[in-house]
Amino acid sequence: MKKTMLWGIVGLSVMATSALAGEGDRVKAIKDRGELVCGTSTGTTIGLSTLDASGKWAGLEIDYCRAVAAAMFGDPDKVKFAPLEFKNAFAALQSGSVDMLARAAAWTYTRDTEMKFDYAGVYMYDGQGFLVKKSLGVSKLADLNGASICVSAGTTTELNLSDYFRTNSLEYTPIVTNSREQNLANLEAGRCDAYTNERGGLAASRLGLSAPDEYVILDEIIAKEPLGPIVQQDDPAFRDIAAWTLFTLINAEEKGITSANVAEMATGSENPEIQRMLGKTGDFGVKLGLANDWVVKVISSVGNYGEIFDRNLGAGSPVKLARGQNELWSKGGLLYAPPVR
Amino acid sequence: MAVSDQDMATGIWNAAEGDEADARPHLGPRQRWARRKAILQQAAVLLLVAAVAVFVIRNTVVNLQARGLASGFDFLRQEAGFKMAFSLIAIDPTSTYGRIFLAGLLNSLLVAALAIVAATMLGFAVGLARVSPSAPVRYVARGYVELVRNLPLLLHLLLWQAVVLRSLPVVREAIGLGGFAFLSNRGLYLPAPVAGDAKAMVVAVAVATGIAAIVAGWSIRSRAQARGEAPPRLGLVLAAGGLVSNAAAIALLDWQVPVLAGFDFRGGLKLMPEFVSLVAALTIYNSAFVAEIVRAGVQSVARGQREAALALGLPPKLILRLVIVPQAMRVIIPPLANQYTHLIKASALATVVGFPDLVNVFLGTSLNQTGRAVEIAVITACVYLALSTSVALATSAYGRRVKLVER
Amino acid sequence: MATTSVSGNSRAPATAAGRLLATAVANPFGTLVVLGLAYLAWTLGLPIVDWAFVNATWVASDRAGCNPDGACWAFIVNRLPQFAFGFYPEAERWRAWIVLLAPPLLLLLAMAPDFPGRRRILVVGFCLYPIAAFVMLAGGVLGLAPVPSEKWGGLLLTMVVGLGAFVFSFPIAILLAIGRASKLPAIRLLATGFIEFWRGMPLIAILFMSVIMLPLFLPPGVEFPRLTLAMIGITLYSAAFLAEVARGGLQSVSRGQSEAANALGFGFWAMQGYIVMPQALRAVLPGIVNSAISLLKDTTYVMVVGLFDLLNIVNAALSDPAWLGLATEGYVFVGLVFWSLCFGLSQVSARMERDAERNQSRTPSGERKAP
Repeated sequence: MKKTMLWGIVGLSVMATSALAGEGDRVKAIKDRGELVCGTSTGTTIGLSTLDASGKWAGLEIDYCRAVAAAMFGDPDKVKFAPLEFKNAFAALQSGSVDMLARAAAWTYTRDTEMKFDYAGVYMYDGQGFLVKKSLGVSKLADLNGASICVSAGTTTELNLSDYFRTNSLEYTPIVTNSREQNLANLEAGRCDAYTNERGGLAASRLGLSAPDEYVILDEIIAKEPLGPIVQQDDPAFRDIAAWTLFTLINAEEKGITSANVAEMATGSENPEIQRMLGKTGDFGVKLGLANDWVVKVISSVGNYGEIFDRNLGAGSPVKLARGQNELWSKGGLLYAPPVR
Repeated sequence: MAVSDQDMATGIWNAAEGDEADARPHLGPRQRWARRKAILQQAAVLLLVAAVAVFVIRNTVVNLQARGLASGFDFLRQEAGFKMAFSLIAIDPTSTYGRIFLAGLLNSLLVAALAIVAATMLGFAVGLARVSPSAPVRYVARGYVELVRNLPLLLHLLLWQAVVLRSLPVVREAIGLGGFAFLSNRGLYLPAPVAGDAKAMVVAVAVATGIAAIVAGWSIRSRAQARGEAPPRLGLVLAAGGLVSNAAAIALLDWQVPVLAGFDFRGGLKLMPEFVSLVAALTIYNSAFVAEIVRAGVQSVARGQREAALALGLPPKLILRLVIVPQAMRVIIPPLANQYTHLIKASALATVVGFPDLVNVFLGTSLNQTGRAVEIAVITACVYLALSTSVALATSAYGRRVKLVER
Repeated sequence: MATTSVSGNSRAPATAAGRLLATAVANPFGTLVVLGLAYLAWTLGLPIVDWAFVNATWVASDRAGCNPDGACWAFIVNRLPQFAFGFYPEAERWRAWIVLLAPPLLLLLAMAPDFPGRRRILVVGFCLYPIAAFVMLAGGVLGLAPVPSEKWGGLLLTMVVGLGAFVFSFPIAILLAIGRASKLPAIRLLATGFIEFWRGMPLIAILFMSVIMLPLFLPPGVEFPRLTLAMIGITLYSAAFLAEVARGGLQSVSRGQSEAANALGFGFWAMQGYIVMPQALRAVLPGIVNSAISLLKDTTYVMVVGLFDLLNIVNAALSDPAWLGLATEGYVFVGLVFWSLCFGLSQVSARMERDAERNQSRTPSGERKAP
């Protein structure tokens, strides 16, 4: 019987150690690990997240993750990208196998409340549109009555599609797959008549088709798709870092801080807000648990929001997407970040 | 616990100490020690496992609480809000997650059932060809088996999907099959009886009795053959009657032929290409394994059996059916059931091509929409365990029956 | 095999041509099959040869540079390093080469004629391989630059996952098999339950749960790379299947063996290790190799959790705008690689079976001689 008791004690002590392990402290976990884990797409979302043949990631969402890594470690390469199919993405974030999702996931009520996520802002204001073959002669959504429509599994677009067609008494067959490349392959093969997704994403995806000119994006938008970085609710400090990294990218564009002039501005600028942002005065970094010059590291490694957009989706990229709503508020867009004060 | 002396002596675990322990009232000190040790060891292992279980459950609870996640099975009654491209029960955006689960499960079962039937038929044909008297037939069968079974199932599936998507015409140029069935890369369109007809009941009864008559007729015939008697007229009459009844029933139904309208065919039955490629890949891949099982089974039948049957003057065609296959079945059934379990599990690959099976719509879409990861994972695990357990139980029941016949 | 034939012919003509003719006459059906095949080879085979070799393009920089009537092997050629090593840094590729070439060398050794110590080298080689391969690839020790597992991919990842999971699952499988055959009901029940659970689950669901959900079951702060999580799932899955194979082996060992070991005063684990298990495993060696083959094919499932194994990396490359529409070439390439690996392994298994049969016939009763 002694042995039984011995084992009992072993068992109890195992339970006790597990009880000692505290609540999730995301920032500490990331710092202990020495790198950020960012959940991304499977690597074919042109403009947002792509993986090239040499294993390099690129895109707006990738640059955002690099910015967070630069903020936390002073090094934009201290980030690991975990490619996830959309239908696995939220489970991965919930389980903690990724720290953050930058994966073209729209901010919705359910995700924010029921799934207990936090959105750290919006890096892309988008809307759900439809990509169709020109030769079908479809000019408006009502023409798609009875069509087969490609859509990704587990997305808001899948639900919006169903809502829209139901409220407008239209018929359709959903062709649900797991990734953008499967949807595009289906569209090309004529397996489906239209592919529905965020319009920005569609504009980029169109370039991945063998004959982009034969396809057109319909003008109608059936739903708002505010895309932003998602974190868990377990560590408000991490949410703050994620949110202020995004705000900083936007504020930097507003203040004219670019990757080219940030070093010079850090020492030479007379503007008090810029001085606070770049850590010359005040404690902008310290309060977030970061180095005081973190913004310099972020901007010098990835640039400001405008530079990132340009490089990946805008004039400096093959996609040539107009800024539209993703323009600064001062220029008629929706980008509006809280001031550093 | 009723353990015989012999079992104790030959038990693998700790046999050295347990050799004479049994249920006799007077135990020597050595036996008593052996017993106590056995109990202690089991208690220790059980405790360890319990500790690990508690550890895991605790972690999960702590993690879920830290993330403030909701839990419970109430989501099954919530409206899901998405459509399924293919389902055996009606699914619309107002259906609940519970109904989505059911539809996904039925889809999984449908794929598995069709693939099991097809793979068994193809596998038996190839397996018998593997032991054919004709060398070319044997070589072709061997080539087929070696080609198919050395490629990953997932590759089979992707290949089939690529073939279906790319080599079949788009829907507006669908291939007409006799004017009532059509084939395009949107799927196979077949005529279907119009549902909800009062006639349906009558027709179903007619078909059922027809099939029963055919089966009865066939079994009377083959039993007579087995006894070496001339087949009685009754069997033939029954079978013919059954065929006529079936044909009449089918003609009686209102058939709806698919018609191209707008983007797609309307009416009739539509089989998704994802469904077709999934069933094709599962069938072909598994048929190679079934073939090998059948070959091993046939080879396990002693040569003397065939020679004896020949000596008794049984025609060679009947030897295979009446002597070899029934005996081979004893060897074939257990690994065959194993293969079926494999196939059922492999049907979860539907998620790769986008066919809405259980894993795709439930462990995939539903999980992502509701965030109830633990609950959904547990339900899915239970379903698959129940499926594989029922196959195992059926097999062992069959094994017991066959054994009784043998002794 | 001649023994499999159901034909009654026992006398065979002397010459090959005569044999052929006799076969053709005796089996009109078989002859028909041969003729049908010849026809098929002519109508289907020739275009395939044309496509795959005659009109094929081996060197080009993108799809447009390929002959549209033939296979565009240039796609495979251009991407070959990526298909082989994933994103493994170029300067460190030599390490990956060693890891990739070791298994075929061991396989060749396994097929080679017997020489003293061959089996020992094989067993030690295969057991040490995953650990050595892991150290070699991950680096960080012995002056090797560290390479994170996210960079591993292609055939390299397939090998690491397949062989690693196989070797790691071995000891677990043996413990499970012993447990399932135990006379202690609690242990037997636990082992049986464990085996049946892992055998009953689809590998896709196991991978999903191990990679996406396992962190939920771990204490906060305990983290593993995705590759490790996937390996844990596949290892336990494979262990359950191997355990069933090993159980078959245990059943084949005669009771007299363990009784004799008892009589000689062997303890339980010594008896298992020296007497029972070696015989049991030798008896089911072909079954073990067959499990390895299934496991190797099953590694392709890691695609669903976003790991870039050979199949997934080729699949991902298919959506490269410069090389669109080359699914056939890509899948044929993957098929060839897997087919040769699996077929090679199955030949090893068949050879083991033959060896075992020969050994048995050499020593009809009593102890088998050590090879």
